[in-house]
Parts: sequence; structure tokens; C-alpha cells
Amino acid sequence: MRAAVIVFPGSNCDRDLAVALQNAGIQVEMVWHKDTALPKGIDLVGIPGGFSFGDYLRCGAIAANSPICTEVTAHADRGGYVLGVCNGFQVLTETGLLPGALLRNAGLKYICRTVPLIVATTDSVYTRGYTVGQQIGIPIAHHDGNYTASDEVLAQLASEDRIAFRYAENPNGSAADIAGVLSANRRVLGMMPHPERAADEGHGGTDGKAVFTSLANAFAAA
Amino acid sequence: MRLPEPFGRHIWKKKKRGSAPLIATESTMKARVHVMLKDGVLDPQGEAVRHALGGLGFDGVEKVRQGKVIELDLADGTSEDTVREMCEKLLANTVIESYQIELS
Repeated sequence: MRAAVIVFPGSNCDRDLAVALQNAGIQVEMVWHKDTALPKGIDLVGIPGGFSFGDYLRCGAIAANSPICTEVTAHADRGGYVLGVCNGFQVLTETGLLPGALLRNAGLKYICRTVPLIVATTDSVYTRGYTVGQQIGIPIAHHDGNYTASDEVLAQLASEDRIAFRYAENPNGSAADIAGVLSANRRVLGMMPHPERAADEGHGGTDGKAVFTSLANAFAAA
Repeated sequence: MRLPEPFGRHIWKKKKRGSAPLIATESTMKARVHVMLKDGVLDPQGEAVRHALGGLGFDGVEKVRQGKVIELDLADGTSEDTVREMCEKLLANTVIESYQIELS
């Protein structure tokens, strides 16, 4: 399996994401935001956390309009896999690849701590390695992670089993405790918590590792 | 652990200076775009401002909504439709925000 991790000015989890993917046996290439093409034969695009373009205008808004994002959208439209973490999730909602938007945390504070998540579906290449209802501890680190969407969209996400993770104790005011959502074809995942920060013994927890091993296994089996 | 090759190579390349002047042309046309969270979208910042006003003794502030104003200096003849396109594509996230355009 081959993955590309996009690097924007202000990305700061790009290496962590690359290392987590590599440790799962996935071949990773880094791609600069001004590049106009993804490397050939890429299965997955990773959009990392950070503060792309200083969070100017809105988190992820400028990144979503950068040259490479046209390619990321085309990749997703072709049925390619895309994983957006934290700022990457914000970028994916800004591009329209995922529904909804991320508002300022309800408590207005930047929150940086490990939170309990509930795995809400295992029907995706990202979550196959978990069990439904499993509680895992994954770090969050965001100021704007308060997921919002219209009632219709929220109902649709629930009925189509597209909520990947929910917060066990909602830290930021997210609608329906949503921490991560899947696209209609289940190949695009956006999540505010950082699985790549809980993927190595040295992190103090490895609950996020299964996201990357699930991915690698899905492609190894294919 | 070896990190993939392009790390740090082209990422920190310095930008060429002096290519584009800061102000390209004198323009007389201006647009002011007001971006607000849509009604019904919770505005925690506005809510915090309302609380703070109450704390300062300003009674009767029932609701505060905080938005932003974006001023654009435009080439003469730029149409409102073009500014609207800017709003739809970048300046506002129409999932959560509404916008108003003022041309002068």
C-alpha cells in the first residue's frame, strides 16, 4: 500500500502521520501543497494535523483551496482513500469531501489531552481493527473541533452508519458527540482526535495504532 | 526510522523576493463582505461576549453574534457576481456562515 501525506505551511503532525503509516508497513511519500499532482499509484492521501496557513480566515479554508487539494478531491472522486486528522478533518469539510463544519470549541478553550472515544462503526478500512462500542483513549489537540451539521445531515450520518468515532465525554460541544465521520463511500475519514499520537509505546498509549494496521491489512488482503 | 525523502528539502525553500509589488494598482472600487454565522448555528464566542457584557453591568444584552468584515480593493468593473463567487469559494463557509456584500 502506498500513501501520500500532504504538507502545508503550518502542518505539524505530518511526520507523525507518516511515521504511524510507515510503522504499519505502508510506503509513504510527502507531498508539498503547491505540487499539482499526487505521486502515481497512491492508494491513500493523508491530510495531517497542524495549523495550515496559520488558521487564517477559517481553519483549513486556505489549505482546501491550495493546488494539491484539487488533486486530493479528484483522488477521492475516483474512489481513493483519504484520511484527515484534526486540521486535516477541517480541510476535508472545507473541500466538501465530508459534510458539516468545525466550529470553535463550546468552552472556547484550546483542549490538549487524551480523551475516551467510542468506536461507532467498524465498517471502514480505518476502523476494522476495533470492535463496535470499544472505548479507546486518543489525544485531542484543537481549538476548533466542535462538529456541526444540519439536522438532516446528522440524521443521514447516523442512518448510514457514517459516524466513525464518538466522544465518550464530549469535550468540545460537537453535535451528537461526533469525533470522526466517513464519506458516503466510506473511503474518506475525517477525525479530530490524533490516532498517530497513540500509535507507539513511547506515546503512552497505542489505542490509535489499529487505524493504521487496519488500513495496511485491508490493502494486504486485497 | 528513516523518514521519506522530501522532508525539509523543498519545504523551507525561501521565497523569491521583490517579484510582486505589495499594491499592484490603484483601485477605486471597494467591496466589504460581512460574514456571519448562520442563525441557528451556535456562536460560542458571541455568547462569551454577551456574558462579559453582563459582567460589566450592561443589562439587557439578550444576544451577541460575532462575525467578520473583509474589505477588498478591486479592479474597476469587478462585478458583484465575481465577489459573490469569491464568497462562495473562499471567504465564507456556506455550511455555517452567511455573507453580505457591500460595493462602493
